[in-house]
Amino acid sequence: MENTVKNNERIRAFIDNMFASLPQNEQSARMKEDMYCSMLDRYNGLTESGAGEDEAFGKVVAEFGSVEDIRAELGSNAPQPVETVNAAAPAKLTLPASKETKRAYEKYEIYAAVLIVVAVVLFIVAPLGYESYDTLFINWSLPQLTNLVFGSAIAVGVMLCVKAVTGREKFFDTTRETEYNVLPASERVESYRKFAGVRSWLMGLAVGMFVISPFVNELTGSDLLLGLIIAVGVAILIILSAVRRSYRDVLGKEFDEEEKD
Amino acid sequence: MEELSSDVMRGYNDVIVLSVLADGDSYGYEISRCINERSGGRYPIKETTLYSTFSRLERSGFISAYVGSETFGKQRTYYTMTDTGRRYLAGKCEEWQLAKDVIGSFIDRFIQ
Repeated sequence: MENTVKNNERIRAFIDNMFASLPQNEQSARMKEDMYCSMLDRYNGLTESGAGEDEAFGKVVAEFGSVEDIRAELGSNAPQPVETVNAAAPAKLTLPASKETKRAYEKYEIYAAVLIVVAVVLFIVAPLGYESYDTLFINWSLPQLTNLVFGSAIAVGVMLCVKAVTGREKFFDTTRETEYNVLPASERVESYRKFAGVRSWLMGLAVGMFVISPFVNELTGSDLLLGLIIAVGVAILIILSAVRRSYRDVLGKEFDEEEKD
Repeated sequence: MEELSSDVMRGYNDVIVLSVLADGDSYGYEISRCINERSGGRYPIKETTLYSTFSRLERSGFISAYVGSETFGKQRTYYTMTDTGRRYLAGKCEEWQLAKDVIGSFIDRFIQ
C-alpha cells in the first residue's frame, strides 16, 4: 500500500520531469494531467492483475514514449487545414451512426408512422365519403367530382406511404459522402428477411384481392367496392416494391445473395 | 518480430484512434487499452504517440473533447468523433484498401 502511494508520486515526478522542457501553457497542462491519469490507470490495471508495484511502475514508464512527439504538437497552435476527402469515390463503408443521426432517425420513424396513419385514414374515409356524397355534395351532385375526390384520396394515401418508406433511405445511405447506417450490417439483413417474409403474404393478399374483385362486383353490384379493392391491391404492390427497392439500395450485394436463395 | 514500432505505424495512428471512437466516446486509458487488445498486443502504442494523435485530431476538427465524470467522480477528458472525422475515416479506409492493393501487387509474390 505504502509503495502504491510512493509510486503515484513517482509517476507524478516522472511526468513533471518529462514536461519540464516543454512550453508551459494551458494545452500542455491539460495534456500533462490527462497523461498522468492515464498512466495511473495503467499502473492500477497492472497491479490489479498481479504485477508487482515496482514492476508495474517500470512498465508504465517504459510505455511513456518520447517527449519529442508531444513537443511537435504543442508547438503548432495554428489550426490544421482539414484534409479533403475524395468525395468522388466515397468508401462503401458501414460506420456506426452518431447519436445525432440515431435521434434524427427516431424522429423520422415517428413522422413516417404519422404519414402512414393519415394514409390509412384516407383509404377508409374515401369510400365513406363516396357513399355519403348524396348528403355532402347534394348541391354539386357531380359524379365525376366524387370519383375525382375518391381517386385523389387513394392516390394521396399511396404517395404518403411511399414517401414514408423511401425517406428512410437517408439514414441508410451508403452512396453519399456521409455514410451512416443506423442498423449494424447483421441487423439489416435480418430486417430484410423479415420484410421478405411479410412481403410474400402481402403480395398473395393483393393478388387475391384482384381475383375476388370481379366476384364482389357480381355479388354486390357495387362499382365502388370493386374500385376500392383494386385500388388497395395496387397500393399494396406499389408500397412493397418501394420498400424492396430501398432494401436493395441499402444492402447492395447482400441483397443479391439473399435473392439467390 | 511480433510487435510494430511507432515508425511503421506513423501514418495510421489517426485511423486507429478514430476507428476506436467510431464505436463510441472514450477516454485516454480506455482507448489505449482498446488498441492494445484489438491488436492482440502487437501494437503497444506509446502514451506520447497516443496523446499527440489526440491533439492532432482535435486540431483538425476530427474529434472533440469534453469533460466527463466517472462513478468515482474523477474528471476525465472524453473524446468524441465529429461528422468531419467520420468522413475522414471513411476516406482513409478507402485509401488503405488502395494502398494494400498497390503494394500487394509488388510484394505479394514474395509472401507464402
